[in-house]
Amino acid sequence: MHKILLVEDDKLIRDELETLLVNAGFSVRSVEDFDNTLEHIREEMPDLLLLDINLPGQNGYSLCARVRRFSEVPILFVTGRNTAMDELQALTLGGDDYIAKPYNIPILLARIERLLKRGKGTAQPECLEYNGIILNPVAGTLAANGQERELTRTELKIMYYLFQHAGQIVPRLELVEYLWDNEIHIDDNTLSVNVMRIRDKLRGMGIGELIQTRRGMGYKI
Amino acid sequence: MDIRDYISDKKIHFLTIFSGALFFTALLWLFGLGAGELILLWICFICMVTGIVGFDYVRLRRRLADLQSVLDSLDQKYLLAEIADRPQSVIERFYFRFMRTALKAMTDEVSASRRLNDEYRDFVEQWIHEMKAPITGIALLCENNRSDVTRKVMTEAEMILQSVERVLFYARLGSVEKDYLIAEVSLKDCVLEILAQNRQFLIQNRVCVHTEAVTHSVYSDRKWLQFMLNQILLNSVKYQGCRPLVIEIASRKQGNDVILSVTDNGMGIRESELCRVFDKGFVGSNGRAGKHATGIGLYLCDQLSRKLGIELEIESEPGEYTTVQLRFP
Repeated sequence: MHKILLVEDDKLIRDELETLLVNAGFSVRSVEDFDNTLEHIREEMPDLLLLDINLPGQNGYSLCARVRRFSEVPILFVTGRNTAMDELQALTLGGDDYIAKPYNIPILLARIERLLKRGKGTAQPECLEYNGIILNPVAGTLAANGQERELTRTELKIMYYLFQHAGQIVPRLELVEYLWDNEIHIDDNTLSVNVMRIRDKLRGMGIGELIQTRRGMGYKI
Repeated sequence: MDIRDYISDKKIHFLTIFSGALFFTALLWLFGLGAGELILLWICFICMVTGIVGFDYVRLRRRLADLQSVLDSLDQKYLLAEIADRPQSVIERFYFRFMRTALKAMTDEVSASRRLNDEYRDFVEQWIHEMKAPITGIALLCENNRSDVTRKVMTEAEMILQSVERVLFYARLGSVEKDYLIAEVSLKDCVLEILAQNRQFLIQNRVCVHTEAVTHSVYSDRKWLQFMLNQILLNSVKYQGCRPLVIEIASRKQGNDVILSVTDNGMGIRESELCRVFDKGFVGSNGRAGKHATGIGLYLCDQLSRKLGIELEIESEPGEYTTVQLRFP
């Protein structure tokens, strides 16, 4: 599990960010006493540093320059200012990436992932299985009862999310949000159409009842 | 200045000279000078006057032409009194002094109002940056506590952010030159980020966006480009027709240019209004029909595109579609 250190002075944002990152599967520490930020960073030795630029008593740029003297840890700058100068300064002083407040959460997570992945190979997503039905995200296929069907990208993402939440009711809105986060920008109606197509394919394999609709709540497998 | 202006300007001199001449002619005639001598005297007199006056006229004309050429070569015309060579006559000296005093008063006035303007702009920018922390807080709170209510809150927060950003970019519009970073921008990433930024707003409005056909990269400033795309997208959502909204974003190469087009199937724009959509404060018939139109979004886009060297074109069929094209050289 990757360890992220938060350096952010706004308490609410710090707490919520912590919750968010913990939910996203990171181990999170945050600096609360800004007098010894540097020692804190040295002690924690995080895998990634999330650094605010406006801190009480010092600024993130100089902090970043000082961190660089002893560590090559990836640094992601977070700031309310977004002029070209700020961006340039952040990157020339050794920052690895730069994101402006108010950041969009999927973008923030994507950037964090990207920085952490740097240099390391990406993990291959594995096949998912539910009741003998196998979803292969790499090949984009669904297999059951000895038959195999190809899925489109959208259908694959829908099935992937449902498989990950097997046994739970997935609200339609949540599904749409997940698709948007994965660069598929569709609306509610198009989602219904896609689910209908998936059902057709499932029926062809003799498992037509796999996806259940809970009226007013969502889908469930 | 031609000779007529000169004569009319020097009326009083000519009057004095000729009335004096007439007086002396009468006097000499009384002393018994003959007509022949008098005529000879007059001819000499007129030659003298013409010579002197002609010289003075040419000199004045040249002086004015010099000043005019100095004025023409100046970028800041009001600096004339500082740049022109020394005053040549007493009256000129007075005029120059007046001009300088006026110039100084004007400079003071201008710098005072410029300072006020700068202070105001700094304040607005500062305020906007302060706004961002609570908006970030709201976004995080909503993300961590997903429910129907927080989704709606998030939609509203995205709207607030849109407006706040617009103020910021409006305030900065005067100094785009100082605040841009030209780099290779992947249009796909750019578009995806904008969509992610407005995710809740777009989902709540049941929008479908196709971005598969966005592939090229351009050299431009990412932040300003995203701002423009944001405004265009916002307009598409604002003026959606009765059909479910589908937005098609695509890029293509035409010669050396890359064209990014955003097409929606909304209510469209009337042909008679099409040429005015980029005007400041212009609100079309669609906008007046109960929407919160400010007439500022597309104006800002247009201004920005000029500064970034992007050509902005709009094309529409009422009730069918609207296409906005960005052409990157």
